[in-house]
Amino acid sequence: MEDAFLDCAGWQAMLERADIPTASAWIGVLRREDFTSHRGTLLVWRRESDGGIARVTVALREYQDAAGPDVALLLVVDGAAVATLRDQGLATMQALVRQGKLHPYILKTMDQLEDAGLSDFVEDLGLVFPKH
Amino acid sequence: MTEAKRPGELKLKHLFQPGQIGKFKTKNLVKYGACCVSNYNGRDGTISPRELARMRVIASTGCGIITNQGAYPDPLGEGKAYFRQVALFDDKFLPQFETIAQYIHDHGAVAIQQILHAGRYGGIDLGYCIQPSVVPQTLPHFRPPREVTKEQIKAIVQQHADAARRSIKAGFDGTEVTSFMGYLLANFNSRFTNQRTDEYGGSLVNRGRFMRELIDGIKQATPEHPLVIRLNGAELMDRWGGNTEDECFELMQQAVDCGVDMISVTVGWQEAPESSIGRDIAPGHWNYLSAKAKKMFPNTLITFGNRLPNPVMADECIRDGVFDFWEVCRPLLADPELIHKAADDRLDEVRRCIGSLNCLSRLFRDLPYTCTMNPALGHEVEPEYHITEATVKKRIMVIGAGPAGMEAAITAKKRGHEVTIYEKGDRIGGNLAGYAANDLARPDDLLSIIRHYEVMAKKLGIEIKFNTEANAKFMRSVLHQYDVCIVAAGARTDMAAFRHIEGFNLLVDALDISTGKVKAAKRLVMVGGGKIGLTLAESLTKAGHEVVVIEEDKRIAGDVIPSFKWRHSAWIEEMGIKTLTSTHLVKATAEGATVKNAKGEETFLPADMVVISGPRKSNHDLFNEFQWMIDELHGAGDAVIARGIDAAIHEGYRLGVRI
Repeated sequence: MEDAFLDCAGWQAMLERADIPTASAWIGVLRREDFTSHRGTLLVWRRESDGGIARVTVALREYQDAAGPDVALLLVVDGAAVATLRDQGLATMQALVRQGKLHPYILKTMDQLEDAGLSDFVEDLGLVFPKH
Repeated sequence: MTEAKRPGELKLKHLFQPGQIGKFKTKNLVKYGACCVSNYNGRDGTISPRELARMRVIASTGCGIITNQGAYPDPLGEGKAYFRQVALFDDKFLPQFETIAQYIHDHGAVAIQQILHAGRYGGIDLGYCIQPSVVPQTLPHFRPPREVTKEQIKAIVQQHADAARRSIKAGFDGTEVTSFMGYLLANFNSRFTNQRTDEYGGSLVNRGRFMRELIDGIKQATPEHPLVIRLNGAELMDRWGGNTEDECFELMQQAVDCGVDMISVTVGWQEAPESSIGRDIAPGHWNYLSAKAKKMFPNTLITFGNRLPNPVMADECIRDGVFDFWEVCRPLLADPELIHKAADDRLDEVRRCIGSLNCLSRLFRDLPYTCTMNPALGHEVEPEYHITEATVKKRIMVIGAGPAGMEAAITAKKRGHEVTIYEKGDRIGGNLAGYAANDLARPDDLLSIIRHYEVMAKKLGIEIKFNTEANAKFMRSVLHQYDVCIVAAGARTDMAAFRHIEGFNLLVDALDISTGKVKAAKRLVMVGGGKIGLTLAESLTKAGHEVVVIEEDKRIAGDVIPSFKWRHSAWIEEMGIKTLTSTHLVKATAEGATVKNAKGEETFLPADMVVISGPRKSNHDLFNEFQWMIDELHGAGDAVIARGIDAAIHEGYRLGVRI
């Protein structure tokens, strides 16, 4: 596919390989230009448990200034970060955050993240504490 | 008659020259900066006796200007950033502010009250925060945002003006508003959080409108009194769409044009992706921002102190025109006597702020702040924490010259006890010496702790017997010579925990490498990704060794202070140190280590040496051996439970003041 960001199957393959937690809320990924212009395409994914079987779901949504109440975490990425994430997986997230190529926005409180099964995921971003 | 100069004042003549802010004269060019908030107060914003006691100490630090911690100005608490932050939205709060202003004046200092509306970091009790625009949080600690309306902006400006008027009514000489470190003022100034399309957003002039209205409002409310504004010289948010340094200085220009009396130049936001005031930043690193401000605004007072802990450096900066006032906070939390020691030319006695940021780590856990180096901070109201003359003078033996032992010894000696330290090594410092030597951030900060103990032991005349191992036989030889024994023998690597491992005899203790007792091989497997393992792995990698770290837990740095975890993670990544988490050691051979992960998969890691850095085990044996040999037996620091320097210093002190 020409635009790797829109390639849900590709994201799904990467996420199936990754050790992401089963969660009741979505993780959203948004290109920086869409975030800045307040409109565009939001990629969402999560691992769900369906009758005891865990499976990754990936979808695209229209983005208009808000990610939606079922999205717990919004990862705003630049072009290089899209490629890195797709090619090298989620283990690169901490580095991308530090390089300023991936900017996470936390849309829920810590308690809500915990209830949604995503508190560990957020902690893995290395962002749970102000970095003086 | 002119007061005679103290010896240090003659040496640091720039720092100790008189100054002036507005119509108020200052005795020197030191400003105590309102360093975050203490979290010592009531949940309703009332000032507590604990806070008053602390401020009595701060008032006596010898600074020319003293800034009282930031008070939120609105009754709803949208501006409230910290659980126990003080409030100034009503006259009912005034009596305690009057007391603090009086304390400051009693010590001949100019009193400034900071007004702190936290904006993006506020609304701690509300479940939301207000911002110029709805920009989601990047840290889960903070509340979801709501966009502030124009009517609310007017009200907020008025609340600031009212709070300023109240401050003056309470006896303060001036006020301060702050954007540091990402508060409401910064939210309006910054492109990152201000995406408004009305007259408060867009261009730099529009983004600065809130600040100008704020300055104007406060100036009109308190025309005879100086106003200080804290503004970022660098937000460190530009990678995320925040202001550039140039934009920061253009905003300063706007503040100058509005007639502020002093600009306090600061660095960074809470959520900035890089360090600003931690000990991984070299002292003086940010001075260029202040120098630029001074050059651009020669007629406006500039105060600065981010990561500038040293009075000698501050004196040079004033001499060189880098700033007009040295703004200092954390170094005065670590040692409230810092300015007096500088004035008396006793800088060798200073307890240096080591930039551990224990203070901020606790604030962001909604706890009162404390200081690694100053166990009495926050306990000034408790007589039990004061160093007072002992009613019964005792003969005290301290086992171990690490931080816990030295702290206990020094404190006890100051109270009039007779103290002797027995140390099995040949120097002061215990395990800290080896750890500090390998610290990648700033070894000198950690080594300053040891130097402080060396100086104080000498000045107080504490006898230290080196190369003396304490055991039952030794104890029998000194029986009845002492009334008290303090076991502060630290902790050691629990090598016995690996006894079942094939190749146990090949395992090397990380402490032996850190102290130079064993020479590290070229290729190592480091077992344990806690602070000791990581620090040594980083240091060895820097020296050209190849290190793989394995950690049983699912994350590394589990025992590292919250404000420093990311630092280790970043170094590990930058240096390319391979880390295997959820992994344990199975076997060691001369060729390497076999390790197993949580899925049960085994991997062979080629290495010339397998090093064990954890778990650590306290030296409990001495307690059992000495139990029936001495009147009082106490433990302190890692000898009780293996933790770290903070617990060691605090426990040592608490024992010292009680015995």
